Order: sequence, then C-alpha cells, then structure tokens
Amino acid sequence: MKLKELLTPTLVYRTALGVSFILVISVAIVFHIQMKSLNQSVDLISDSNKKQFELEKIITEIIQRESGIRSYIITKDSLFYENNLQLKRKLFNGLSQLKSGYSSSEDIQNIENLSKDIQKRLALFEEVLAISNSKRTDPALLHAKLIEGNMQTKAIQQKIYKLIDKEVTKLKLHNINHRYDIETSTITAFSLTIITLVVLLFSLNKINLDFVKVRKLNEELKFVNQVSDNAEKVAGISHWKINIKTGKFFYSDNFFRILGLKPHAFEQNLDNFTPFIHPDDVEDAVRQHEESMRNHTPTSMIYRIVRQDGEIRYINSTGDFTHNSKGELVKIGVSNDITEEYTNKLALEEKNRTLIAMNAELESFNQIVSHDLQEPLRKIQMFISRIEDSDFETISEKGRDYFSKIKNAANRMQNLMMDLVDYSKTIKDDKVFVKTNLNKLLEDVVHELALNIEEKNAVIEIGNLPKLNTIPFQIHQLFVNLISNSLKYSKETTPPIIKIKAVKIKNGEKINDIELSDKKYYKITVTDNGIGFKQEFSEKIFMLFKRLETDIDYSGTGIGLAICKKIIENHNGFIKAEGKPDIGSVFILYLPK
Amino acid sequence: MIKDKSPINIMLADDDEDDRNFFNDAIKELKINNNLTVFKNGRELMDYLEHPNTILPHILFLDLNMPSKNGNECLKEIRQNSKFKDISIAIYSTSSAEKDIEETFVGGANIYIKKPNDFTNLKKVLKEVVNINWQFHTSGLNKDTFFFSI
Amino acid sequence: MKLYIKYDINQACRVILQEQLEKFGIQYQLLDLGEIEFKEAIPEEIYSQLREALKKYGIEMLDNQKSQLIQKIKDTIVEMVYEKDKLPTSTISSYLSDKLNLSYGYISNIFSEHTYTSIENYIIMQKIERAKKLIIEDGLTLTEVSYKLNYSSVAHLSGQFKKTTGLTPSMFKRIVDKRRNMTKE
Repeated sequence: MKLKELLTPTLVYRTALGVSFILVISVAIVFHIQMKSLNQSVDLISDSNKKQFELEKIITEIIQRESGIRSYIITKDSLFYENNLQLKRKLFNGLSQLKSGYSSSEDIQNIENLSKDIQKRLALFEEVLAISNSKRTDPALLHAKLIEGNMQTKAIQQKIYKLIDKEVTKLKLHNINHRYDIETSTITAFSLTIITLVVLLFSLNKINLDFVKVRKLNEELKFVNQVSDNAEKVAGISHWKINIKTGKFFYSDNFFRILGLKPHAFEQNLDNFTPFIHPDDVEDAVRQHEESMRNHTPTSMIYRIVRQDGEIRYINSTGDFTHNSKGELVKIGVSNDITEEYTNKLALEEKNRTLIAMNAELESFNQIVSHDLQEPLRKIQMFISRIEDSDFETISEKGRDYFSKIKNAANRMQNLMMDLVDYSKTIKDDKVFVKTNLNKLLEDVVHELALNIEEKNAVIEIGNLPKLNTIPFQIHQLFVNLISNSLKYSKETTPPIIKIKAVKIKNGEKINDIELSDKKYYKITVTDNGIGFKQEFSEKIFMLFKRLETDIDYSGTGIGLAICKKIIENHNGFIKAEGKPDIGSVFILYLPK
Repeated sequence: MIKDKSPINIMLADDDEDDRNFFNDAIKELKINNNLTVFKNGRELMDYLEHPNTILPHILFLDLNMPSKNGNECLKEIRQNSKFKDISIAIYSTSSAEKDIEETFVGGANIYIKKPNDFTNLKKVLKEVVNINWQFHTSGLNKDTFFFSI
Repeated sequence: MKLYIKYDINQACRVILQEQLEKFGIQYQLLDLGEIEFKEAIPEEIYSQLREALKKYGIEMLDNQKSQLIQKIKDTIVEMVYEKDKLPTSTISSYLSDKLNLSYGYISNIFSEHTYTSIENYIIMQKIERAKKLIIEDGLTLTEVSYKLNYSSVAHLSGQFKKTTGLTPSMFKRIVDKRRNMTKE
C-alpha cells in the first residue's frame, strides 16, 4: 500500500479515536488501582489504630490495677479494686483480639510473650493482695513485692510501647510508599488525559480542516459540473455511460437538451432513447450498438434524431469501453450535435461539385472553342485558299475584294478563338502555386519566341529576376504575351529592344490608392522601344476586346493584355502601363513576395 | 542510295472527308512518287496494318479525334508492336495545345502537325514533313530524338 | 532496368565491314570517310552477294559517282559537326571545298539536286542533331551548347532549334525524359 493511502483522512481519524480510547481506558485502570490501594491503606490505618488502642487499654488497665491495689493497701477500702477475674477476662479478650489482628509469626510471638508477662503480673497482684490481707503483715515483704510488681508493670509497659512503636513505624513507612504511589499515578493519569485531549484536539482540527477542504472541493466540483454542462450546451456535446455489470444508463443533461427535452425527461435507458433515432437510421445504429456491447469494441457512428417537434438533428456518437473506479466495465461515450457542420459540409460538397462541374464545363467550352469551332472555321479558310489557288482569276474584281475580306475576317476569328481559349485558361480554378525562378521561366519564354525574335531582329535583355511563388504556366503566358506585344508594336525602322528587370519599389509608390512597399512586393518592368501609346489609354489597353485606333495597322484581338491583367490578378498583384507615342511603353508588374 | 524511283508509302487515318480530300490533293500536287492509302478511322487502319501482307508505310498520318479507335489509341498500339518500329508517325490534328503535342511525342509520335488553314500552307507542311522524314532516314539520325512539330 | 549506351557508329561499321569482306575473301583496305579500296577486281557475282550481305546491317554500297560524292559531302559535314570538339571558325564553304578539293558551287548544286535539301539546311540539321545529344546525354545548358557549336548567341541556337524541331529545348528535354521514364516502368 502506498503511503498516501495510509494517510487518508478517515484513517487518521480512526487512529486518533483508537489512541484516545486506549488512553482513556488506561486512565481508568490507573485510577482503579489507585482507589484499591487507598482502601487498603485505610484498612491498614484503622487496624493499626485499633491495635494501638487495645495495647494502650491493656497497659492502662494494668497501671490502674496497680494504683488501685496500692490505694487499697493504704485505705483498705475495697472500692479500689475490682474483681480480679473480671480484669483478667478484659485483658485476655483484648490480647486475643490483638493476636487475631497480626499475621506475622514474630508479632504473634510478641503478643504471646506479652500475655505471659501480664499473667505473671496478675499473679503478683494476687500475691500482694494476699500479703496485705494477712493478719500479720510483713511490711518488708510487702514492700519488696510492691517494688517487684512495679518493675514488672514497667517491663510490660515497655513491651507494649515497643509494639505500639512498631505499629507507628509500619504506618509511617506505608504512608511514605503510598504517597509516592499516588503521586506517580496522578502524574500518569494527568499526562494521559492531556495526551488524549491533544490527540482529540488534533483530530478535531484535522477533521475541521478536511471538512473545509471537502466543502471547497464540493463547491468546485459543483462549479465544474456546471461549467461542463454549460460547455456541453454551448458546444452541442453530451456524454453518456453504460455500466455493463449493472446495466445502468447515464445520460448527461445536455444529452436530453440535444433531443429537445429538459434534463432527465425520461428514465435513462436504451429503450427510452431509441424512439428518438430517425426511422431510417435506427436499425443500423442499434445493430452497431449491440455488436459493440457484445464484443466490447468501440463505436463511431453518425445518425439522425427526430425531435418531438419534428426537427431533424445529426448526431455523431463515439463510444469505447473502460473500467470505472470499482473496476466494473463501462461503456462511455460522447454524442455531438453536428447538424451545423454536417449541413455546412453538405453545402460545401455541393459547392465543390458545382465548381467541378463548372470547371468541366469550362474545359468542354475550351474543347469546343479550340476544336469543334476551329474545325469548320479551318475548313472555311481552307476552301477560301482552294478557290484562291484555282479559281481566283475567274472572279470579278469586286468578288476578289470581298474574298480577301472574308479571308481576313476568318483569320481574325481564328485568332480570337485561340486567345479566348488562353483567356479561359486563366479563369480555371486549378491554380497551383509553385516556387518559380523567373530567369529560368523567361529563358523558356524566349526560346518559345525564338523565331519571332529572330525575325524581328530583336534584342531581349533580362536582368536578375527573383524567385517567387507563381502559377508557372500563367506567368509563362504573361511574359509570352508581353514580349509578343512589344514585338508586334515595334517600329518598322528600329529593331526592338525589350528590357525585363526587377526594380526596387520607391517609398510611397501607389497603385489604385494602395501603397506598395518593397517588403511585400516585387516590381518587374518590361520596357520596349516600340510605337508606344498615349498615356490616356493606359487603362483601356487591359480591357477585353478593346483595341486602340493605332491597332488598325496591326493584327490583334485585344485579348492578350486582358489575359495579362487576369493573370496578375490571379497572383494578387497589379499591372499598369506607361506609354509615350513613338518612344515606347513600359509594363509594370507588382507581384507579392 | 538515292531511291529516286522507289515510291514513298504514305498512310492517312482521318474521319473527316474534307480533310482527307485536302490531304490527297496536296500530296498529288507535291508530285512526290508515292503510294497513299487512306482510312476513315483507327480501327480500319489498325486492321490493315496488322494484316501480314501489308506493306508498311514510311509515314503514317494520324488524326487524333476519330470514332472507333482514336489517334492516341492507334499510336499506343503501334508503338507497342516492334514490327512497326520503323514507321514514322505524324500526328495530324486540329489541336495546337501544348499538352496534346507533348503527350503524343511522349507516346511515340515523331511529327506533330497542326492542320493548316490554308491549302498552300498544307502543301508546304507536307513537303517539309516528307523531306525531313527522308533526311532522318537517309542520314542515320537518332530516331529516338526525332521530333518535329509544325 | 534500362541501360544507356554510347557507341561509336564508325567503329561498329568498320568491324562489320572487316568481318564481311574477310568472309568473302576480298583483299581490301579501309580508308577514312566510308571508302574501301579493293586490291583486285571483284567478280560481279561476289560483288552483288557482298551488297546483299551488307544491306542487312544497313550499309549500302554506292556505285554511282555522284552518290559517292554526296555521301562524302555528308560525311565531311558530320565529321565537322561531331568529330571536332569545336567547329571551325572559317566559313563552311571554304572548309568543304578545301576538304573535298572541289568548288563550293559544284558541291552545293550536286547536293541539293540529290538530297531535296541544301547543304546549309543539312548542316543545321546535323548541328541540331548534335545539340540534342549534348542536351540529353551530356546535360549541357543551351549556353554551353551554343558555345560548343559555335553559335553567335543562344537566341540564334534556340531559333534554329525551334525551326528544326518545332519545340523549345526544354520541352524537347521534357519529352525525352518522360519517354525514358515510361519505358523504365
């Protein structure tokens, strides 16, 4: 057993009470013994006093007899002496009483000796009396006999005093011993009482302290229970227990609330609960529960419950087996009201499905534009070229003019469709950001445009560009479009020079009233020496299908830069353009770091 | 070494009749000594190719979108059969998607042609393709890295 | 498992030629650039047997004078592109006419007449072929390739690459890598 368990409050009280009990009994025993010995002392004293009294009575009687006899001798008055026999009986009565009072042989011997001496003395009295009553009194003899009697009396007196002394000494000795005994026992009893008191006080104090603690704990427990009940209420959680041994069910208050009831609205058992489970779910739920009860396996299930007002709630219930403090197997579990999460999840799934469907639609739109629409258009173009090849000469001048117009329109339509596909790709939702080395990416872009660049005799200068998170194919498209744009709108007389570089953002630089900081954005500029544009068009050029008047000489769909804007927006960045007619244009990109 | 006289065997599988006609006309106008065999879908093509007596083509032009065995399926089957390892496969498709180009090259195609929208251009492309294929074969270039996209 | 091998096609051809010629008991001497000098006249019958035997290995015997010349031009170009670690800086026309001891005009005419392509295009084709090898087998960057093949700029090389293959070098590499991964699986 552990030390801590030994020190449980109850054990302390029990020990204290036991100790107190033993102490009180000890005190009682001590007092009992003390009383007993006190009684003995009293007996002893009275006995001793009696002996002394008897002894003194004997000697007094003898001395009285002696002086009576003397008085008779002088006066011859018989009043002075009693009957000798009466005296004799008195004396020996006393002696025999004395004798019975003693127990030790030495004392008895002493008494017997005394009795002999007394007998002797009594005989002498008789002799003296006889002498004095004789007609012829011998004064000398009488005198001698009187002195002898006196001597004997004195001897008897001495013996009696000796005996009395002995009694006194005995008493004294007893007294001394007894006083010591009383003192010791009083001290013992006193200390025992004090110890008992201390133990009792201590345990009382402890009980008091523990009681305070228990009360505090009780209050805390109450509070915790309240808190947990509130928490369950707020979180839509409840818990339950099933004791496998006793078959007893317990549902927490909120279990009832989840069912739309007041706590403990019904007696806690399975039969009262199952009617609340949705008819479609009840069979499965009960089966799972019963299986788990049989095999003692954990359960986890989602089922619906129907409240009395018909409201349906989704419950996520998980349970597992454990042992309670008594070592009995119990199934404990948590049942959560997940209606909100569940419906949200369903809504989200629905949304995702729609999104996927939309993406699929967009994909099929792309497919339609890039393939199904291109097919007939390509054939139109093909047949135009066939007619041009073979029958062009036979067509009238006007017809030929119309023909070239049809051809231009068809070509333009084809370009539009291609660009539309590119544009729709930037709307698609599969945006996967990857750390991209812009220099590497631009290398690829330049390779892709190699023929175009060579044809225009263009020079592309690329500075040190950062690595950043991008959707690579989109940024690729962005630079293809920007460089193509610069190549397309280059001056016929001067070979294009296109410079792409990263620039530090100046303090206070703004776009759309948003202040940009160097810490948050990369600034990349694409500068060309082409035909440029009027600054007033700087926003218009990014709009879908907007072409500038100057475009007439240049083929373009008006989608390329709109795609660029869309891509930059997909990257949470900004794009703007600055142009000067006949000098060139600068496209400025801000991409988040 | 120069087989001026020996004809080049060409096959085309395309479900679109107009496209087959354009192709036929273009090849004719190129004045190349050739044997052109045309199929309406992938199944017809594969059945013909797998016939033991068939003289295998030097170049096979494959449309991607075809009913009953599309171009990709044909490509896969042909490349899995070592009997056909010498055939140059030219994909002949409307799609110019980089994804399609990459996929078919990875799948074993040698040439990828985006169907031109101009007859003159078609002739030019076909001439170039026949020529480059011929160069590859006659100059002993590495067929494993023979890719040409036009 | 897949093993990559690098082979010397010339060495392989020489061994095959030696084996076959010895099989027919022909006295010969192998010269450079695919030329064989016969020490004695060979009967027509053995000649055609040899022709058939070599055909199995993809080796053709050329009998036409012009064909021989064209093959020699091609070989010279291939040698120029491959054998030299660095391409000659002198013009190709003078290099070829020096090597073959013929006027460039004559060479150029006879070449395009019989090959459906010009010497210039042929050189580009061979250079790009070597560029492919350098990119895939040696893992060189385009800058390194352009230096090695004597291009004036990377842009010039990538332009020719695009023109010859229709692909960017990176897409080309990606396709080859994917193909290799596919056959590995």
